[in-house]
Amino acid sequence: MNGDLRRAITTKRAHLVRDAAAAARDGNFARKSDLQMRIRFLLGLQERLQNDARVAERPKLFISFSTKSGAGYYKKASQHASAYGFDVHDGFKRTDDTNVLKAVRNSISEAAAFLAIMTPELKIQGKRQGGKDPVRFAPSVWIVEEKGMALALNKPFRMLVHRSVHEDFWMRTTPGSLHHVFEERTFEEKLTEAMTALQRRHEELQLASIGLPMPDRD
Amino acid sequence: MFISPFAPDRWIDLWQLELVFTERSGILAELMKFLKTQAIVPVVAETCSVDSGERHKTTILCDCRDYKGGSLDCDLNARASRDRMELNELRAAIAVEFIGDLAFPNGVDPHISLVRNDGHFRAARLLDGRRRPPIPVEVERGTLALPKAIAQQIEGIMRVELAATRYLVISDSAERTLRVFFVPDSMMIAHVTASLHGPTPDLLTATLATLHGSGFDIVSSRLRFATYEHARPGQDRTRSRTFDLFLRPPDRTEWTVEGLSRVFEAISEEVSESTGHKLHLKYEGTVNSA
Repeated sequence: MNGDLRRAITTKRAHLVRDAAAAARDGNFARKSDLQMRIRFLLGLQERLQNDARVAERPKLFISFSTKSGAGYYKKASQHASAYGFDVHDGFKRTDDTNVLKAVRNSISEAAAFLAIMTPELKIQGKRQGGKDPVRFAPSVWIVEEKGMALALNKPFRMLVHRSVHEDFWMRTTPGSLHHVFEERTFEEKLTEAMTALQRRHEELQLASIGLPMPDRD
Repeated sequence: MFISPFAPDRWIDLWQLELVFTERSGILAELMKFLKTQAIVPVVAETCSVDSGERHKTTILCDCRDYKGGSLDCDLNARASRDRMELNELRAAIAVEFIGDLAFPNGVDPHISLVRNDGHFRAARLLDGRRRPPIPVEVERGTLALPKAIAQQIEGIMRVELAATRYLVISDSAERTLRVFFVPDSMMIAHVTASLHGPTPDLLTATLATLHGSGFDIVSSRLRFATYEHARPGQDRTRSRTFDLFLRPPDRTEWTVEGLSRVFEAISEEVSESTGHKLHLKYEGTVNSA
């Protein structure tokens, strides 16, 4: 339901309540009863619209990405997610809390699923015994933060990881099956894998919430 | 053939708004002003005082293409893509704006409805998938002269000259449209009039079931109070019914006028016997030819 309509219902209801009180004071009980009928209708209307809005709402997918190195991938992922029936949210859209961490956590908490796109951000280089590591990268610290929140909130979770991102930033904390390692040319293929898995998990959870198992798809 | 008085670009988002207000001078002006704020364009409207002037009934066909709703009503593109749709937010907004003026006939809900004009919507969707554009035609003194291009299209589909084509025109007054069914030579559509003298539910149910059982398919029908011709002499017309039917007979037989008349007589007797009330089915002829 849009905000203007919500406000209009509240304002009208307040006017009617005031008028009903005045009618009661004047001893005009027929008018008071008529106004109360209209107030009841407005109360029911507000509830019906809120329920309808909940039903009409598409599930949200939170996409965690870096604007510096992952904006192009994010754009593709957003288009894909929309085709899969998700409304896309990210850590940059939310402005309802001045505390950024809280705003992001709220957004992830409202999401039906979480997708991270881990792209190379900071160059790192280390030495292994007997040789030198190839050049590897660290991801944006925000993606690691958001990933932690999604795991803590038990969200259906998938992660697209660029092959040049060092394993220490993702492999140690979550099962490997939840990660899809990609290169530039394989991004769309891996994105499809991740989205299909997220959608399937979302449907499983929806069916489970009403006590039904997931039907076989083969 | 689908005939509408409205230009095809309006068809996709036409909605019928019906409201009953407690009578008050200025209410229509306020309603039109409110609709304007919502970017709703009234296409045609009818208003009338009812209940001895205590209430005012308003019916408006609205072009809602420019209306943008919230998460429920959405915008034109989203609405156009949904087969079933209601404008719950707009209906609510009107109800809220006029909450003090709307009539509450059952003491619970106001008299307000907002329904998509489905005939035009479906026609617009079909039109969208066609290569040929719609063709505007002017009606002059009640006659609709088909443009040559349409006539040729019909002849191409029917494989018969337009002058020899048979057709059935059906008016849908609620949708404000006319539909023309062209009937190929190979297809027969029989016009039958039934006179129902007795309890309408019993006779209607038995007639429809027997026609179905005999393999007839209804193309169009109309139930109404008995015409003067079909009413029993001296009896109140409203106690009987005239039931017009346009029927496709079963394909298994080469039908003759005599053959059809005999079948309808037999059905009349069967229904009259099974219900104990008088039914008379009269074969009136086949569909008009052009």
